[in-house]
Amino acid sequence: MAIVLVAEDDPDIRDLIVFKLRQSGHTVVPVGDGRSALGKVRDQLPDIVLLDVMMPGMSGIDVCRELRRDQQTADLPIILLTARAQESDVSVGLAAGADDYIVKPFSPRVLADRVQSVLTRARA
Amino acid sequence: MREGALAAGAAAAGVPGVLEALAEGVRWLLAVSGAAVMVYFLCVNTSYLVLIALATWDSVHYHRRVAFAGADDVYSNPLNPAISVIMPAYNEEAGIVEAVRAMLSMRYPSFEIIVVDDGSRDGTFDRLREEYDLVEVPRVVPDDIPTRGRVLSVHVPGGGSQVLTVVRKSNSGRADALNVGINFARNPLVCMVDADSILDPGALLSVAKPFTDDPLRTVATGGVIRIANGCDVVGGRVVTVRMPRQWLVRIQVIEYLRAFLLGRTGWSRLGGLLIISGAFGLFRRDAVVEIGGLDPDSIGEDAELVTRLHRHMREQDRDYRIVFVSEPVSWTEAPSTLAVLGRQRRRWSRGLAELAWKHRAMFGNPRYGRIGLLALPYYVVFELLAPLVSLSGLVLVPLGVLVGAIDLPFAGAIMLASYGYALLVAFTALAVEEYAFHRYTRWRDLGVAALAAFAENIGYRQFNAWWGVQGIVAALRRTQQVWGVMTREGFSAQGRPTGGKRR
Amino acid sequence: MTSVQLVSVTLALLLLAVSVLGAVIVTGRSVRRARQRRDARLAAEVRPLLIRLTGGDEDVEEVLRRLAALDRRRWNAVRASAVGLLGKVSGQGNAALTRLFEERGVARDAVADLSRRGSVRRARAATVLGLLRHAEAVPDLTRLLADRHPEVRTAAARALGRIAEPQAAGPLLDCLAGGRVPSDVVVQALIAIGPAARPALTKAMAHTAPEVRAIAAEVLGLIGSVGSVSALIRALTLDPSSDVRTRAARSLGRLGTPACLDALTDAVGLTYPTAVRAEAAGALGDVGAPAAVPALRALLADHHYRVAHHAARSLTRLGGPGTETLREAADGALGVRAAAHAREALAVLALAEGRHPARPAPAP
Repeated sequence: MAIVLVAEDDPDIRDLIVFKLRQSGHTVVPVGDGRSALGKVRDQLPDIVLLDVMMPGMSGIDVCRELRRDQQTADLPIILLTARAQESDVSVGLAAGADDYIVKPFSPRVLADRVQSVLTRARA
Repeated sequence: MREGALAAGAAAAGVPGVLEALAEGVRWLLAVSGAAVMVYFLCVNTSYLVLIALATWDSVHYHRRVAFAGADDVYSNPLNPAISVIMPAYNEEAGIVEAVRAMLSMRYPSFEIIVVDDGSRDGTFDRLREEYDLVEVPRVVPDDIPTRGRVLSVHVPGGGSQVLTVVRKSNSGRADALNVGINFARNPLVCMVDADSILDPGALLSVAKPFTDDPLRTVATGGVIRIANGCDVVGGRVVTVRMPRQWLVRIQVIEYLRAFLLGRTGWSRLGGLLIISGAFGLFRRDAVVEIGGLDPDSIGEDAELVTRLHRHMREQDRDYRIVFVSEPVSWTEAPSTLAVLGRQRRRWSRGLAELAWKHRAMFGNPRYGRIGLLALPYYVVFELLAPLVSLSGLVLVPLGVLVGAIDLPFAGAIMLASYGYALLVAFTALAVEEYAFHRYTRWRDLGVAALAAFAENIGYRQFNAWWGVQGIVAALRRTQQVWGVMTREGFSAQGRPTGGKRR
Repeated sequence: MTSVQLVSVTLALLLLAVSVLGAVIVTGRSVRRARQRRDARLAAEVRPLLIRLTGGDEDVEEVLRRLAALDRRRWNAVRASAVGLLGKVSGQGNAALTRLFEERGVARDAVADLSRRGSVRRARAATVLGLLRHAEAVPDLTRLLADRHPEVRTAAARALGRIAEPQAAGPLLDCLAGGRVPSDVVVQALIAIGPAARPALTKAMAHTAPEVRAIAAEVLGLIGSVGSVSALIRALTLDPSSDVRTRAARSLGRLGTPACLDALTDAVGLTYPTAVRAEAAGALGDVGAPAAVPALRALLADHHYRVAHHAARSLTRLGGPGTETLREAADGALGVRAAAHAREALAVLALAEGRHPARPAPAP
C-alpha cells in the first residue's frame, strides 16, 4: 500500500477522497492548498500525489510544474483533479507533467481505481 | 480753503465709520463662508452615507445571487467570452516573471496574455525570454487604434503555446502601450492590468461575470482595488489579509474602503460609474476600438476612457452598462511615505480636473443622462473642489475667530461635529465591510481600523487637501499652456514601484 | 437653545451613533463566529456519516437510515455539504445521496418551495431539484422561467439543464428574447438536452427575436446536428441579423459536410458583411477540406485584417496544399500584404510542429 498526498481546497471533497483511499488501505496525507502540498511532499515523500487544479494561492498545475522541476520529485506520479471540462485545460495539465486526470463530478470508486492503476504503472 | 477744511473734516468723521462698516462686512462674510464650508462638508458626508447605503443594498443582493451563480459552469460554457489580458511593463525586471506566472494561473477557461514592454531599459524582456524560452515571430497587426510607439518585435514561447505574447516597442507611455496591446488582442474582451497588481485567482471570473450575464449591454467592468501592504503575499497571491503596519497606510485602507469599494459600488448601482481602476478593468474590445482607445495625453487615462465610453454610448443612444464588481479582486501596494502619497494625490486631482475640463460639454446636459446631470457634477463639486473648500475652511474659521466674527466654542464644536460626522461615515463603511466581506479576520485589525478612522481626521485630511489644490493648480497651468501637447512623464515619474498608482 | 448647545447635542448624538456602530460591528462579528462554531460542532458529529454514505460501496444502508433520521438542527448543519457533494460526485455516491434526499423528503419540500414567497427560497429550491434531477418538477421549473426575479429564472434554467428533459428546450429558447436568462445558461442547458433539442432549435431558427435565432444557430453546430445544415445555410445567406449569420457560419464550419463547404466558400465573397466573411474564412479551416484552398488564397490580400488573418490561419489547417499556398504567398506571389499574413501563419505552424520559425523579414 502507498502514501498518498491529497491537495484539495473543498473540505467535503477532501474528506471524501481521504475516506475512500483509506478504505483501500492507503496512508493519506491531506492538505488544503498548493503551497502546503509542496511542503508536505518534501517531508513526507509520498508515493503518489492527487492535486485539485483550482486551489487558492497556488493552482494544482503550478504545483505539478514545480514538482517536475525538482530532481527529487521529477518522477513522482501525479493525478490532477479538475472541474474543467474543456480539452485545453486537460492538455495544459498533461503538458505540466501530470500522469493522469480525473474530471469532476467523479465517482469515488473510479478515483480509487485510477490511483491504483497509476501506482501500478509507476512501479512497473 | 473752507471747502477743503470741510472735506477734511467729513473725511475725519467718516473714516472710523467706513472702517467699522468694512470690518462688520468682513466679519459677516467670514461667518457666512464659515457656515458655507460646514454645510458643504455636511453634504459631502451625507452623499457618502447615501452611496454606502446603495452599496449595502447592492451587496446584499449580490450575496443572494452568488449562492446560485454556479461558477464551475463557466468552464463548460462554450460561449464563454475569451479575454486578452494586456499588461504594460516599464522597467519591471524584478517582478515581471512572477506577475506573468500568477496571471497564467488565473482561473478562467480561455485567455491570452499580451505583455507590452514599453521600451524598458532594464532586463524586463531578458527575464521573460529566459523564463518562457521566447522566440521572435512575424506578426501582422491591425491598426484598429492609432498608436505612437513603434513596435520593434513580437515574441511567443518556443513551445508553440499561444497563451503568451510579448511585444517590444519604443517607449511612449502607459496609455499608448495599452493601445498597442489592444491592437494585438485577438479576443472580444480586453483586460488591462498593471504588472505590479496582485490579483485573486478568481479575478477574471468575477469581472467577466457581468459580460456573460448581460452580453448585449455590458461594455466595461471594473474590479475593486484593495491595499496589499501588510498582507502575506506568496507566489504573487495574497494569502492572508492583514492591516498594514504604518498608520499612513492604515488610514488609506479606510479611505479605499469608503471611497473605492463602497463609493464606486454605489455609483455603479446608480449607473454613474466614472472611474474604473487602471490596475484592473475589463472592456469590450470593439467598444474601446470604436472610441479610439486610451488618450495618451490624458494624465488619468483610465477615468478618461470610461468617461469617453459613457459619452460615446449616450451620443449613440445605445443601451449599455458599466459595472463595478465589489468582489475583492485586485491588490496594490499603497504609498507608505508622504512624498510618494503626495505625488499620487496630485496626479489624481490633476487627472480629474483635466477630465472635467475635456468633457465640460457633458455638464448638466440632459443628453448624457445621469453622467452629465449627476456623476460628473458630483465629482467636480464634491471630489475635485473638496480640497479647496477644506483648505479655505482651515484658513477662514481661525480668521473668523480672531476677528470675533465666529464664536470660539461654537467654531470648535462645529469642527468637532463635522469630524464626528466623517467618523460616522467611516464607521458605517467598516460595518458594511464587516457584514458583507469580512476580509480582516483578526480582532486586532478591527481595533486598528477603528483607530485609523479617528486618525484620518487629524493631519491626513489636511495634507490630502493641500495636494489636491496643488493638483488643480497644475491642471490649470497646463490648460493655459498648449492644450493637448504634453511632455511625456514616462512610467518612473508616476511613482512606481512603491505607489503612484492611479485609481 | 443656543447654537452652542445645539452643536453639543449634535456632537453627543454623533458620538452615540459611532459607538452604536462600533458595538454593532463587534457583536456582529461575535455572533457570526459563535454561529460558525456551533455549526462546525454539529457538522463534525454528522459529516463523517455523510462522507461514509457518499464514499461507501454496498454497506451504506445503516448510514443512510441514521442520516435520514437526523433532527432538523443537525441536518441543517450538513445540508450545504450534502447539496455540494451531490453536484461534485457521480456514480454510486451520487445515487446514495439522491436516496438520502428522497428519504428526507427534500424534493417534495423543494417542489412546494417553488411557489413560495421569497426569491431566495424559490431559487434555492430550483437548484436542489436540478441537482436531484427531479423530472416531475419540469413543468413547475418551466413556469419559473418567467419569474419576476432574475436569479430565480437563472436557477430554473440551470435546473432544467441538469434534468435535461427535451420538453424544456422550447421554453428555454423563448426566454432568450429580451435577455430574460443569460444566454450561456440557456446554451449549457440546451447542450445537456442534446440532439433531442433539435426540433425546438430548428423551429427557433424562425423566431422573430434575433438573439433567439443567434443562439439556436450556435447550439445546432455545438450539438452536431447534421440534419439542420439546410436551415443554417438559409440563415447564413438570408438572415437580416449579421450576428445570426456569423454564428451560422461558425456552426457550418463545425458540422463540415460538403454542403457546408459550398455555402462557406460562397460566404467569403464580397456580397457578405465583413464580419460574416471573416468568420466564414475561419470556419473553412474547421471544415479542413483542401477544396477550400483557392477561395482562401484569394482572401490573403484582403483589405480587411480579420478576413486575411483568418484565411491565413485556416490555410495552416488544410494540409500540404494549404502550406504550399502559404509558402508561395510568403515569397511575395500575392503582394506585400498577403506575404505578411502568410509569414505569420507559417511561423505559427512551425512552432506547433516544434520547429523554430523563420526570422521575421527586416522592416523595409
